[in-house]
Amino acid sequence: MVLKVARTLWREVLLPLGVAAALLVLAVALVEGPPLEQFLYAVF
Amino acid sequence: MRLVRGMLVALLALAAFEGGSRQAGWLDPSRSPDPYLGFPGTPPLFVPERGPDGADVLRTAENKRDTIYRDSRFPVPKPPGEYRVFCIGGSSVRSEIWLNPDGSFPGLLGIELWGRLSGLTPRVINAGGGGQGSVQNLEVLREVLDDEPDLIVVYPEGGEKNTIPPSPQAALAVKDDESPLRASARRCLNRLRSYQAAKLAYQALLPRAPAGGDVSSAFSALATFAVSRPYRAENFIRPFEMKLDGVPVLMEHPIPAAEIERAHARFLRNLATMAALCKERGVPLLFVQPVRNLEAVFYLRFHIAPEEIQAGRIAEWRQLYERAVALRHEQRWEEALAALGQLRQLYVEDRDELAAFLAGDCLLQLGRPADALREFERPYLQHPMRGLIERAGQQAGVPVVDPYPAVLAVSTGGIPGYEEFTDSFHPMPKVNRAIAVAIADAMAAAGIGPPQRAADSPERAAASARLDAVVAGIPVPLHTAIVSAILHGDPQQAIALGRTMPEAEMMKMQPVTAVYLGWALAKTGDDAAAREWYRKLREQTSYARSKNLPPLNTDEDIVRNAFAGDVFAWF
Repeated sequence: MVLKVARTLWREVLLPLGVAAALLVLAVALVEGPPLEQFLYAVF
Repeated sequence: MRLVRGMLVALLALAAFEGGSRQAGWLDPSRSPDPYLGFPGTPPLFVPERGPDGADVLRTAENKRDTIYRDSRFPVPKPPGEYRVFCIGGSSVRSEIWLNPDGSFPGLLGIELWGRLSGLTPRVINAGGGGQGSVQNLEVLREVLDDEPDLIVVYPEGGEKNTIPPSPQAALAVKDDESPLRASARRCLNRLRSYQAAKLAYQALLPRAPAGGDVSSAFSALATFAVSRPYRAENFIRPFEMKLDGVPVLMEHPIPAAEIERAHARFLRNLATMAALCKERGVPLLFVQPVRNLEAVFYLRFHIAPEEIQAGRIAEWRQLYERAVALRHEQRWEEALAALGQLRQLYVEDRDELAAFLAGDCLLQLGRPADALREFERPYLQHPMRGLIERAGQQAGVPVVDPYPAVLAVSTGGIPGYEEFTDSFHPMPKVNRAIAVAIADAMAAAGIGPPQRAADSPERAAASARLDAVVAGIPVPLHTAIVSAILHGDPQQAIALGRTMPEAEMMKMQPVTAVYLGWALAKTGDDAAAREWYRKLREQTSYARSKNLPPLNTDEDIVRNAFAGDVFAWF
C-alpha cells in the first residue's frame, strides 16, 4: 500500500515537478550568460 | 492522459510557487544583485513604489540604485503640464559626484528647459549608469518608452568597450548577436520567480569561477601593480607617464579586427533599434556626441601595428620616436616637433594618437595654442565612435547633438583639459552645462517640444543665472586638482592639496586620490616621503590585496592586460 502511494506520488507529482525544474535549469543554461561571479563592474 | 496530468500538476505547482514567492517577496529580481548589468531580460531599471506623500512613483530599482544608476524617482501617471525627458547613457550622464547640487547634464538641462519652455514643467530624469553601453542603453530606452516620455536623449560612451572579448559581458553580447531569440526568451522568462530560483540552482551546479572584480580598470590594474611590488619611486610615476616618455609598443592589434567590426555593427544596430522604437511610439530622440578631455594621455593608444608603418621603415620609425620623446623630455620643443613630423611621414595612414598628443604638447609649449588644439583634438575627432553616431543619426533620421564646439568655447585656454573634465572622460559641471545648452538648442532646431522662449527673455536669463550659481558652487574634485597640479609641473602644490584631506579618510574613501598623491610625492624626489606613503597604501588600501592581477611586466603586457588591448581607441 505504502509502495503504491509512493509510486503514485512519484509518477503524478514529483516526476512532473522534477521535469519542470530541469527544463527551467536547462532554459537558464541555454539563454543566460557566463557564470555570474565572473562579471566585473568595470567602470573606467 | 498521464502526460497531460503531469503537465497540469507541474503548471499548478509553478503557479503556486509564483504566487507564494511574490506574496512573500522572495526572489524579487529587482532586489537581488544584477550581474547582467541591464542586458535584455534583466529586471527593469524603475520599479513602482508608494512615495512619502502616498502618491505612486517609479523609482530606480534597489539593485541598481546608488551603485550603477542614480536614485531617481518620478510620478506615475505623469502630472498634467509636465515635459518629461529621459537621459540615457553611462557614467558621464550619471555624474554621481555632482549630486547636490545636481551638476550632471540632465540636472542642468532641467534648469535650461525651465527657462525655455513656457507653460510646462520640465522633468529631466537621469537614467545614466556607470559602465553601461548601447546594449543596456537600449533596454532602458525600451523600458522608459512606457513611462510617458516627451523626449529621450542618448549619450553613448565608453561602456561599449565592455562588450569586447574577453570581457564576460562580451560573451553574453556575442551569444545574443548570434541568436537574438535568447534575448527575447530572457525577457519572458526573467519575469518568473521560478526562473530566478532556477538561475540560483544553475549557479550552484557550476564550478566556482575564481573570484574576481578587484581589478576592473586600467587605473586599478596599474595602481595594484605599483602598490603590490617592492617599493620604487618609479612605480608611482610610470603608470601615469609611461605614455609621455616611451615609444608605443610595436605589435599587432591585440583586439582582432573582426571583434571590433562586430562590436561596431552591434552599436549601430542598437542605435538604429532605439530610433525605430521611438519612431513607432512617436517619441522624439536625440543622440549626443560624447566629449573627452583632450589633455589626458592615459587612455590614448599605446601600440602601433607593423602594417601601419610603410614597408621597410620600422627601424627608422623607432629611431625617430625615441629621438622625439628624448627631445621633448629635454624641452627642446622645436626639435621634438620636427622629429614627430618626420616619423608621422612614415605611416601608411597617420592614426597615431600619441604622436598627435606629443605634437600638441610641443606646440602648446611653443605658444601656438591654435595649432596645439588641431593636434590634441585629432584622436577625438578621428575616433570611430563619433563617425558611428553620426552615421546612425543620418540613417535613422535622428538629430545628432555635437556639443564639442560649445565645450571648446568654455574651455580654459581653448583646449578642453583638467579644468573641464574630472579625469579622461567625465565632464565638470561647466561642460555639462554646455552639453545641456547644446541639447536645448538642438531641440529648438529640430522642432522638438513646444516653441521655446526668446533668447533674451527674462525667464531664460533667470535660468542662466541659476546655472551660473550651480556651476560656480561646485568645487573641483580633489583628485582632479592634484592631477592638474602635477601635470602643470607643480607637484608641491599637489601635495599641499592632498594634505587637506585627513589621511585615513583618503585611504578609505578615496584610494584613487591616495595613489595620485603618491605620484606627486615621487615627482618631488622626496624618496623617504614617497616610500612612507607607499607603506601606508599597502597597509590601508586594498590595492596590495587585489586578486587576479594579470601580468603587467612589459609595455606589451600593459597594453594587453591593463588597457584591454587599447580598447578605447575603438570605443
